[in-house]
Amino acid sequence: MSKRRVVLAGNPNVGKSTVFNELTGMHQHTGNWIGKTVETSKSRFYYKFNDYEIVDLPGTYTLSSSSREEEIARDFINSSLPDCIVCVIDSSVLERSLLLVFQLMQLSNKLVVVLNLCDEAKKRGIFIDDQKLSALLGVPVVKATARSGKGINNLLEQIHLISTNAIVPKPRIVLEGDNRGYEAAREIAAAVQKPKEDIKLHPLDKILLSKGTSILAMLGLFGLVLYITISFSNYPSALLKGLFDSLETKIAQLLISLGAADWAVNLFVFGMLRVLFFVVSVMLPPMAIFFPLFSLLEDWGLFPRLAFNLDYPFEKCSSCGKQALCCCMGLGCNAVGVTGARIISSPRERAIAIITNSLTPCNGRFPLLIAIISMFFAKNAALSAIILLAFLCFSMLMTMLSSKLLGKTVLKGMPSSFIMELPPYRKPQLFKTILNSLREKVLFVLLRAICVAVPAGLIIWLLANIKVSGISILNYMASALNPIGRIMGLDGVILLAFILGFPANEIVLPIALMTYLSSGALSDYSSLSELGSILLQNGWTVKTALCVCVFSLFHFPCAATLLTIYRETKSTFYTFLSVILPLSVGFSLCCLINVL
Amino acid sequence: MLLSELKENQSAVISFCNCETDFGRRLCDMGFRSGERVVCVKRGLFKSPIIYLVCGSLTALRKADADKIEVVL
Repeated sequence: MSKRRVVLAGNPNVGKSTVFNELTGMHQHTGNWIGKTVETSKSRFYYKFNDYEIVDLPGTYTLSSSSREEEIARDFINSSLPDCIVCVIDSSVLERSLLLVFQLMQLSNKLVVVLNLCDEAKKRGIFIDDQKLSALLGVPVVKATARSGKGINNLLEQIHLISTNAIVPKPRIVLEGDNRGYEAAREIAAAVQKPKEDIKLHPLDKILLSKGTSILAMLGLFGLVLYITISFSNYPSALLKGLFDSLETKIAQLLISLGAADWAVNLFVFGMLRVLFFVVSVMLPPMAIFFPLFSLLEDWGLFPRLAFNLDYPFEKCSSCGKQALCCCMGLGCNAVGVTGARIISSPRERAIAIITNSLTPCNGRFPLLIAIISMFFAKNAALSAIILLAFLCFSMLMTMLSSKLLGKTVLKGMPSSFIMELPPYRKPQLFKTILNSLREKVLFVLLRAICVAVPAGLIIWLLANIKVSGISILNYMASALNPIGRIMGLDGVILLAFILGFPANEIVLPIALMTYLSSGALSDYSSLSELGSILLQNGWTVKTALCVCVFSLFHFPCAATLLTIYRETKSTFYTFLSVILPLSVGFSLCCLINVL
Repeated sequence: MLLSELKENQSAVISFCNCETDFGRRLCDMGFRSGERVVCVKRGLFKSPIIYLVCGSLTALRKADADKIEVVL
C-alpha cells in the first residue's frame, strides 16, 4: 500500500508544530513566536493500517503574498498534490485565519480545518460553533488543544476519512479574481462565534514593553538565567570530573594489563579520552543548564517582546527588530540563528542578520567565558553572571554597529518594514520543555564531542609528541603564531586553540589547556581554580583573560555555522564576509585592549 | 487622520489602506483593511513600533508604516 501524503498548513504561531509532534510522536522544536518553524519538516505515522507521510509547512498568513515562506508553502501544495491538507488555525482569531482556509480550498477540496488553541480562546470568552462552521465551509472542522493532546484522535480519524476518500468535502467558498474573501470571512466569523470581548494588554507587558522598565526587566530575566547557569553548573561538573578521573585511571590500568604499549596508552587515554572528558565535564553542564532555561523563556513568549523593544535601534542601523530574534536563536546555536534569519523578508536585511549572527556567542562559547570570568574576574556566581551579561550586551552592541557598517557599505538600502504579531504569553510545559531541550542539547554536544574532541585530542597529542630536532611540532606551530597572538594580547597557544577549535567552539579551552599541559611539566588539575593556576603559570594576566573573552565573542563562525551560511545565502562573498567581519572586530578590539 | 496619530487606548475605524502593493496586501491580510476597527494599544520605547489590536490579535507596526493607513474616529 502506498504512502498517503498529509500537509500541515496554517498561520504562524498557531501550533502547527505541536500538532505535528502530537500526530507523529516526534519532538520537533516549538516556540512561542512568529516564524519558529522556517523549514518544512517531514515525518511518518501509522493509523488504521495506513502509512502516512506528513509535512509541516512554515506558517503563512495567506498564499498569495510574495514572501519566501508563502512561496514555499504554495509551491509545495501545488506540486505534491497531498491526499489531505490540514489547516491549523488559532480559534481566537477566526476571521483572519479564514482567509488562508479559503485559499487552500481553491487548491484542493481535501481539506480539514483544526480549530487549535481552544483553551486560550475559551479563556478569552470566545466560543465557536464548529458544526455550523463546518456546514458553512463545506469541510470538516475539528476542535483541538494540541498542547494537551485534545482533539488529536478526532483529527486522525478525519485525515483517514479524507485521504481514503471515505468522505469528500465540498468547499462552499469560491474566490474569483481579486476577491480575497475579506467579506466572506467577516460574515462567517460573525455567524459562528459570539461577539468577543476585546483583548487587553497583559499586565506583564506593561513592565516588559514600557519605557522605564522594559530594558531593566529584560536584562534582569537574562541575568537570572545566567546566574542559575553559573551557580548550578559546578555541581554536575565536579561530579563528572571525579567519575572521569577514576575511569581514566582504570582504563589506563586495563590497557597496560592487556599489554598495550606505553605510547598507545598515552595516546588513547591522555590524548583522546582526556579531551572528551574535559568537554563533557566542564563544557557540557553550563550548556545543559542554560539551554532548557532559555527554551522556557522562548516558550513563554519573551522573544517577540525583545524584538519589539529593539526594533527602533535596529531600524537606525538599517535593519529590523526581527534580527534580535536571530540573535536570540544564535545564543542557542549560531547555525540555528542563521537559518532563522528566514523570518526576515527583506533580502538585504536578511543578509545582514546572517553575516552578523556569529557576533552573538552561542552557548558553546558560554562555558569558556564562564570559566575565564570565574577564574580571573569574579569569585561569586552573581558577579560572574553580571559580567557575562555585560559581555552579551556588548556583543549586541557590536552586532548593531556592524549591521550599520554593512548597511552603509556593501548592503546599502533603506530599512524596509516591521510587522510582527505579539503572541499571548503561554505557560511553558515545564517538564516537557526541559526534558526535550535537555535531551536535544546533551545528545548534540556529546555527539559533537565524540566526533570533534576525540580526533582533536588525537591530533594535539601527536603534534605534541612527534619531535623534530628535539622540539615538538606543536611548539613550532605555537611559536609561529606567537607574534600575531602577542599583538592581540594573546599567545600562540590560544590562537592555535581557536584555529583548531574551528569545527566546534566547545573544544577551544580544552585544546589550549592540553597544549599547555603537554608542553610544560604540569600535571593534572583537580578544580577550576587549579585550572586558573595552569593559565597563570603560562603567563596569563587579567589582560590576557579579557582578550581571550573578547576574541571568543568575536572571531570566525564554527564550521557548521559557516556551512549553513553558505547554504542559506549561496554566496561565497557573504560567506567570506561572515568570517572577515567578526574576525576584524575581534582583532581590532584585542589589539586595542592590549595597547591600553 | 493617520493611524499613527492615535493615542494609547484610542480606537478608530480604518478608512484607507492601500492593498495594491505587496506590503499593503500583507497589512490587509493581517487585518489592517478598510472597515476594520483598530485600537492603539501601546507605543514602543522610542515611539516606534506601535502595538495595535486588530482582528483579535496584537500586531506591531513601525510608525512609518502606520503613517500609510488612514482612520476615522
